[in-house]
Amino acid sequence: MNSHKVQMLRSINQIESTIRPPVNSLSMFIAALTAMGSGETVQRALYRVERHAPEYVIKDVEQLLDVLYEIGEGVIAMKLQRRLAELREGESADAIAGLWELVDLLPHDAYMSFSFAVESAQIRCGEHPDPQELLRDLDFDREGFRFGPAWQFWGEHSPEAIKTAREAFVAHLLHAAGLADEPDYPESLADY
Amino acid sequence: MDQEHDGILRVMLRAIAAKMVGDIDEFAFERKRIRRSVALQMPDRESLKSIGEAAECFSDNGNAPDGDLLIQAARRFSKEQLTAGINAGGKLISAYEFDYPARVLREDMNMPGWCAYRTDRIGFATCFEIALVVCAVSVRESEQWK
Repeated sequence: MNSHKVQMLRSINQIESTIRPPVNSLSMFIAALTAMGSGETVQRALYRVERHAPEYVIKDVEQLLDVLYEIGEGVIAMKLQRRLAELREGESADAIAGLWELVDLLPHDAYMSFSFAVESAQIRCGEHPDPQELLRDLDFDREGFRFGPAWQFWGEHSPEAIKTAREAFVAHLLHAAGLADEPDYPESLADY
Repeated sequence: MDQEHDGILRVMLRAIAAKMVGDIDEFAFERKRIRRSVALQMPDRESLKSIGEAAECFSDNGNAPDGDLLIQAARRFSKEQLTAGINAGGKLISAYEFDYPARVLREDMNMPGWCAYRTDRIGFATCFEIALVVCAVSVRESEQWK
């Protein structure tokens, strides 16, 4: 059942990738980091690249970081990398602000990320009798994640289900924004 | 797909389909791209060995059909062939038959739960949402070549 579900989720991701209009990951990065309060650093990075390496047309974050190192702006590059890592962890208040900005920019993908989170939690901790209830009881806004009573279904494993859902949501959304690789699919706790 | 417990996956598939085709009802029903159909589903290729000429119906011009299942419309078989199919482990199912105007490459659609014949331009799935998405991808593919 789980492998079937993982295969379905992979397929859904594959199709999403082919139908998604090209996402400018650099724009997403700038928007997210600006929301995280690092807009000035990003603008400084872009300015330095434009000034010292005008021959480059920066297309994505990786290229931006590479060029920053190349022109001797490693300090700025490291700062941006730290902020990107923080965004990928999705824990801090700043990261929540960055993710919220992406939710606003990518509503369809955010919707899919919620579904992906619910499915990932079930793959990890077991099927829930009413998955739609899990979806209704999962919320994300400027304050962060909120998991309602339906998420207590797994008892002692509920914290694990919630953790899995959080990580899956963040990974799926960042993948859609071009800021992370395709998310890993969780293994079932029952397999241990 | 499990009818009772896979509501979320179904919703996700509908969301993808809606993104591709817009109005799902118009795409699927008004244009009659997806129809209910009684079909014979065989468990695996091995089971085809004991159903004689009827096995050809599960062949796509000599090749295996696209997708991971073996389904064919029951109307393609005689009563005797259907009986042979059921005796070989097959079952009669209520399937969703869909238009399949262009091939959906395996690497683009590694989705379980469907079967399609490029030669006949027809596919089958046991779940409406899977039929919908495979059909939408196939139609999209065919329109790219126009």
